[in-house]
Amino acid sequence: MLQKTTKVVVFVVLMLALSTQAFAQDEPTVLRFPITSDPASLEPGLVKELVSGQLALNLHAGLFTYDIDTNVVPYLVSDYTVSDDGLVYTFTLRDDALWHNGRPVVAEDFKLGWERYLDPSLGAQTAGEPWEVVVGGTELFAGEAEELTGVEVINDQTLQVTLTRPSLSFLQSLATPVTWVVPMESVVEGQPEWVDGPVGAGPFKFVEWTPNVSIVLEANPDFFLGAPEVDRIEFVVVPDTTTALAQYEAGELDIVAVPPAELERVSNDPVLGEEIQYFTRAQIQYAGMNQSMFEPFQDVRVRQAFNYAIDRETLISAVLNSAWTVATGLVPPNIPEYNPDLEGYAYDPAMAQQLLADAGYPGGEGFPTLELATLNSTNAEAIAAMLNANLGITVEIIQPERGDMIDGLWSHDRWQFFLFGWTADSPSASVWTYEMLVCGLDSNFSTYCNEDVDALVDSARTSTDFEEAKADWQAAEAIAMEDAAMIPLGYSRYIYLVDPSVTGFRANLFGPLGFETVVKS
Amino acid sequence: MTDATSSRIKTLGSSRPSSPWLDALRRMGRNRTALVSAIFLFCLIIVAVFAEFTAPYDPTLADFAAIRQPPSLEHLLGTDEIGRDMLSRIIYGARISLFVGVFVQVVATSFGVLLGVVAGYYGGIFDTVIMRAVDIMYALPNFLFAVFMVSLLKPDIGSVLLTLSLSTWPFSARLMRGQVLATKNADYIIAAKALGMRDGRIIMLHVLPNAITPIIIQFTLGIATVIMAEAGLSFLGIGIRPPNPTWGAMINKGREFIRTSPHLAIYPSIILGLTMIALNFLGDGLRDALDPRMKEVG
Amino acid sequence: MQRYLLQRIFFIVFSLFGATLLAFTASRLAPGDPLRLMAGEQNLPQEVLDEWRTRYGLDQPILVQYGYYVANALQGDLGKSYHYVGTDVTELLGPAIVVTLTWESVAIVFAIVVAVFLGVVSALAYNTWIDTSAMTVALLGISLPDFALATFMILLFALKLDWLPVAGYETPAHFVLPAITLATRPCALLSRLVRASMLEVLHQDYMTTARAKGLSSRTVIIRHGLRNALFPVLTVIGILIGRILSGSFIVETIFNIPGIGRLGVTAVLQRDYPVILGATLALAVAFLLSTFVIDLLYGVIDPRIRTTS
Repeated sequence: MLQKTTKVVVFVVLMLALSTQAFAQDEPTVLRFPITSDPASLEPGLVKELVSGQLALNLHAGLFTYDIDTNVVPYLVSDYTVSDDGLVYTFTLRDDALWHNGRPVVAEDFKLGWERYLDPSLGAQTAGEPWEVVVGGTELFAGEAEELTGVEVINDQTLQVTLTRPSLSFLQSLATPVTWVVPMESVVEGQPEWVDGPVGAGPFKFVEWTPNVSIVLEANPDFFLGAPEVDRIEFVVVPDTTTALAQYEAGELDIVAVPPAELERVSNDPVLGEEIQYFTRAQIQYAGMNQSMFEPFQDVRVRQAFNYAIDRETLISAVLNSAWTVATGLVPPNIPEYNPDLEGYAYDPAMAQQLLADAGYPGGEGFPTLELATLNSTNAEAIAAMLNANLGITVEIIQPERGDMIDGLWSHDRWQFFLFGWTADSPSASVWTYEMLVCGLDSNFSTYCNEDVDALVDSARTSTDFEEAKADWQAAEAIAMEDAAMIPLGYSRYIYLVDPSVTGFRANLFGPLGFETVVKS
Repeated sequence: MTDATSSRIKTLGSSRPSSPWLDALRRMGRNRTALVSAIFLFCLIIVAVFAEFTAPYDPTLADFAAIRQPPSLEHLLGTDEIGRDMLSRIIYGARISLFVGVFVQVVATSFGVLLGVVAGYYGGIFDTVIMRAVDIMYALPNFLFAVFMVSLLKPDIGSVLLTLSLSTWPFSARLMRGQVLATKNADYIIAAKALGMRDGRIIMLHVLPNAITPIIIQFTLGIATVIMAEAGLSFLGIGIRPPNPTWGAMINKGREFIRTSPHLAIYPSIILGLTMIALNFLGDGLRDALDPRMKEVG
Repeated sequence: MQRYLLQRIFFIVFSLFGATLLAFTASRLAPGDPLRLMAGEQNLPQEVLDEWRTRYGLDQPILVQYGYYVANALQGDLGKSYHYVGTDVTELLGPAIVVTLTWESVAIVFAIVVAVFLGVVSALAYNTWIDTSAMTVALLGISLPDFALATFMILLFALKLDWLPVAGYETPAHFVLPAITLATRPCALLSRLVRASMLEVLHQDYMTTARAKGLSSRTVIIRHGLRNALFPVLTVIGILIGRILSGSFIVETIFNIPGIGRLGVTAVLQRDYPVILGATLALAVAFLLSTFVIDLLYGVIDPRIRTTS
């Protein structure tokens, strides 16, 4: 026992001496990119968080994808037509696309793949939603049919999809990785979970996954848009963002996201300051006022008072080092239905006090102590301090652990007042204006209800004309702002440091795109 | 060996004419480090208790024009991430943190020592039951235990004290049991038994005093651990709620800013460190003073 | 002796049951629905959630679930992770345990060696400047938060001097900073204990006797002093090993080490029940075995103790 320990110590000391020299670079270019956790799955249909989505964009390909401006563009499709009534889509597939196993991608792969996703026992994240508009989609998901009848394979290169009603969002859903498929021969029969050796049609091939450590991909020389420039990508699992930043500074990573607390130092640093890149993100950071949990929030004057009492400019510039931009509405910029004319709530303590007094709480007198639930106490403490200074009310901060927080948000019965972010999975106002506002939805964490908003949203969702729908969305959003349904704080951004040796790193509203355009010298 | 044993029983039996307590106090006074430590702790407690008068600012008052400022004449220890005065927060934080630290350690150590003595001295079924409980508590990750407690308890100070005490006592219990095992077969204890001394008396007079040194060390050093653990609990939603300041929460928050504004973490750490050092020297002094054998050296 | 061993093994198994049952109950009673967390931010219909609940057996009573778990575990099957879809728990645990045992044994050895050295030296130099400064250093070590120490070392040794890597787990050079960080606190506690025990022992009558018999002072210190001072130290080492194993989350996170501490806490956050239990089981085994060894060592130092257990 003792001898062994001695040996280990000697070995460690020896290796220590050697290892510092052992960082020789070889010819293949390797891009080292940090991810905060392992992906939950490497299958596109099971994507549920950012990391899985990121990997899907590199491993897989679908009929459509989003470009750098978050427009839907053809990907595996070379051409497509839509019938005049908007019901029949005919897709012509590229003839040069191969799966990583060497077999050509054919129309049937999509029919079989989608039918698999519509088996509820697979637990696909989409829960059948993108196919609700496809003929037979709802029936198949409910187990009442055997086949996705609305999807017809005309020949290897031609796929025809028939919808039950015209849909503005159908192509958008085809551009999201959750509708991208994998070849059936790579799927292990009877096993919904599928993580080892995934086969896709994307720019990179799977090499190796070491749980908790890294996932390695290599360039796919047969990628239909041409082989990527970098030979390998190593997605390194680094849960701590501060650590990732230090690793970047030491040259151990090529690209890194900047934590808000470090933004000031990084931007003032003469070297790092030059390497910062900002990208717009489709996420709103807001404070939710749960009306069913806290009675005073049912009074619109109280909600407006809260909106006027918070100094967003200062919060964002001083506390967050401008990691966000000030939110004037619910729908973030760069989303087609974004309304640049909304002004939002200005910082006006006098108005806030007046409104609170009108609501029956002059100077905050008689206002019950409020609990603010948050995952980030810095922002919460700043907001609590502002509300206390301007309205004279006491806000206590509660920091639940993440699982607890999310549970409580969905059940509506735990948090009176909370800070949270709501992020897009498609570039459409419905993400915010429908999901966060419509009466009775689980995702309406504030339990806000307004019939006018519901009617406008309903009309927008069923509309087939984009401009009409846009007008409805914007009208609904304006009512909700007037009603102070919540307290929009800021639109967050992606902030990355990119090593000078790396070019071609791109991101759109949903985050970094695939790395096929990245060059590392 | 027999000589040594009998002389020992005599000393520990405190049968000397002069008061041993007075002696101890006198010895303590001669120990300069212990004295300085005592004065420091006394001042700290006074400053904390009268925080309303000693703190220069309201600890929750944010000044967004002065965020994360380094120390200045206006703010002696600088300001925090939303512009609150660090010194005032440390002073107010001392109240909660010292209270939680000392309270939990007193409860957990007393409980642990009691169970440890029973397990070690009586052995058998007592030992088995108590030590299995200790093992299970140890084998359960602290973090999981805390998450579990969150589900059972109301978020208030009582829950904090309970959770921390429950997760701390096994340490003292194991330590004490080990010490008891080491001393219980010593000749003087066997002798005392043979003389017909009752168990309680033997434990109080012979077993405890000889096992107390590691317990004192564990007690004082553990206070720092408890203060930091309290901050961990507020991440789970049952700790002391912000904006109320605690040392642990300040240090934890400072972590985010450790490279941008290191003073956020460093000043509360230094105060915590000084408090620990003072408590330890005081503990040392206490032990030396209570242990007559140290007389000639100290 | 044989009976004693059997008895201990029985108790170890008993404690394993106790710990896993507690962990099982704790993780299921804790707020936070694993299915909701699995769903991410998607608004899944109730039917899908119910379907998943049935598939993972979460609709059964806790004790029934535990029964299935134990039955499978006895066959070496710890189930599949909820979060890492389709991955066996054993596949996740195995490498993590190896990693943690490797780097932490370096830390533990380091802590013990340094602590014994510091403790003995300051006991021998009782109440001199050496003693006071050694103890002050030790106490500073215990009050400096892990992350602060870690950050300063990263800044100095990795970013400024470029001697060591920042984080990761590729070469033994990656062990150095985390091992020092982890060792500091236990080292401070241990060195104080060694000092105190040494002081106590040095003034025992038998030490005086030994010296009087003309034994060289080094022999006296090692053969009598250190040996007798070992008791509380041994106890504490046993406790610390358990604490180090389960409490290494922060260090493993800062230095990005794919060990069991990080895995376990991440699993709790994700309510990944099978991984939580697997990690608890692994830690419990490690802790119980180390306690067992320590108890055997008591007997080696003082043969009278064995007979009493």
